[in-house]
Amino acid sequence: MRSTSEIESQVSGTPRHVDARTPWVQVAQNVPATVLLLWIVSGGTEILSRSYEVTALVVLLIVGSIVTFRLLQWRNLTYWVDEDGDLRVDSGIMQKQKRRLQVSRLQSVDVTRPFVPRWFGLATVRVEAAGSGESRVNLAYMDLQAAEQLRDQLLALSAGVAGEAGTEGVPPVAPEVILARVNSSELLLSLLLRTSTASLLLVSVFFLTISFITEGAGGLLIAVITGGIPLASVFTEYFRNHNFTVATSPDGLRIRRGMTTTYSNTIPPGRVHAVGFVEGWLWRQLGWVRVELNLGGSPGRKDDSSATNVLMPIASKQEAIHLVEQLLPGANPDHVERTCAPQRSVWRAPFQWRNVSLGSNDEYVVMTNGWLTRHTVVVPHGRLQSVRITRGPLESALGLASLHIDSTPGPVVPVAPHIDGEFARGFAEAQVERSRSARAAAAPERWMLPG
Amino acid sequence: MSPRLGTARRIVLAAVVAPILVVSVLLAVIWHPVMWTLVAVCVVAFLSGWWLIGRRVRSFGYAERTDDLLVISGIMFRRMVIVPYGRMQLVDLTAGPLDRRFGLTTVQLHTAAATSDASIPGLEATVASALRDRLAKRGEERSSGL
Repeated sequence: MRSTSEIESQVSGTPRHVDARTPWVQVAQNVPATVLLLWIVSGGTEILSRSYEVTALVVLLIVGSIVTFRLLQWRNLTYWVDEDGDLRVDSGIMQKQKRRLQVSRLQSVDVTRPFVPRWFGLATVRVEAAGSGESRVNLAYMDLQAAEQLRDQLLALSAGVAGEAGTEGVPPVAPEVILARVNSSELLLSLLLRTSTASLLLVSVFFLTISFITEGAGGLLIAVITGGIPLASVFTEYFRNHNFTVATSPDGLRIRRGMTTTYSNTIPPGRVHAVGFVEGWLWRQLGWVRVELNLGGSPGRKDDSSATNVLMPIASKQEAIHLVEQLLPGANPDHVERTCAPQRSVWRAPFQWRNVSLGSNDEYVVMTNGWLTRHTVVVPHGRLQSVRITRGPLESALGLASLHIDSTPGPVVPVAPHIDGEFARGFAEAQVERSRSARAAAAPERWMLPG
Repeated sequence: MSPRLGTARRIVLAAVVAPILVVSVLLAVIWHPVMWTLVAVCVVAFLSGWWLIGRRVRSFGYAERTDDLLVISGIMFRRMVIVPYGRMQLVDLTAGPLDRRFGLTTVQLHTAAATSDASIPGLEATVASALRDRLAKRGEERSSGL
């Protein structure tokens, strides 16, 4: 267990280094590849292939410089939490960098354990604040316990429990209760049964059959492409979301996932801007749903695997709603009365129109759309950024319009396409009013403060 | 909207169409009469563009309401955006070289959502900066975080 004095020494703000083993672990990660590369290159270079001594010297020089670089990097990297509760990070060998992440603008603290450092019990802490550019800090590597402690401390500070100055008392350690666990083989099956993946795999089977019958190689090549790309993405997703668990903690929901590299993400309820339930055609037959989120402050970094927009990669509808209600109480889309698209909408969207609906209650707007893959979106009134109504020529002719609720960037797109024009207009006006009163009554950003 | 926005956009249209028209007339005279069809196409494009610009410019509109800004635009593809003042993150004023020539400015509102594109083109420079100041003031009064 973590002792009080340990935490206080962090709070009181003496600059600290990351774990002393860091440079060596980094070198251990890089050196085998470097040596291998050198060995391959030296095969073609005369100087190196002439004698072992020269080769050894070159390798030693290169490894030595990497070690020196990493050691210097480690020595110059310090972090601490200052008296205002902000995270301060100083780094840089030649060019010094001093960064201060304001605790009031803190968006997320994730703990990632990459493959090699995991063997040594090390982890990376990734802190993100609202804003663009230099608003993100990676602290690599820290002892797992220290990493989790820093995470808990920062989250508690940003939630307001540790006091304004950050000096009074110990931040409470957030106890975790596991809410949901994803069965990994079910995850793999569900990924294969996604509408796009399944159809592409069917196409490749078709081409494989053709090339088998005609004994031509062209079909085989197409099959490799149409089958290989979706399979690659299935496995990336599978590795990332392997052993997916969702647990509660006073900080929010805590997600743990990953196979080679493990990630731990915390989703504070205050950061959720929109929730989307996604059901592909095959998934609906099995009663499965995927839950995605739009979060504040992480503008669509799809490449960044340590952040997550997925609350649950696969769950039953009931389980999914239960999880979402942990973040947004009462956000059950089935409990919100909705108006469907008018029948004339069939001329604009012949397949989709049956599944389009829009409605709201005291706290949430709910909209559904999609034909093969159905989307159900829930947006809290207070999280609306703007309302937009668009109408194309065909929509105008039919007296239809599409209503968009603009949300922060992310996978969830709140739109009710091709609904009755008059209704859309009236709904938009009423929605803006609802959002205004929701914002006026909104709880403070520091969501853990009582009252 | 300033009526000069139409003029500015028509100048751009003319600048694009004129060289093509000249080249096609020359080709028609020197090379082959079949090029007269291209000349006709150019003329039709120019006239319809002229007419469309007029309609499109007139389609822009905005209303400063008590708690939000309403912006409308478009003829064929119409859109209406309502942005609550409390949600505005920044207000941009932009003016290209031709715009400056005509004393025009585009006012663009940004929220935390990338999709809520609310821009009002072709405002008089003074009107635009006054609008920006009013919007900024109201935004500050009603600001409510993300």
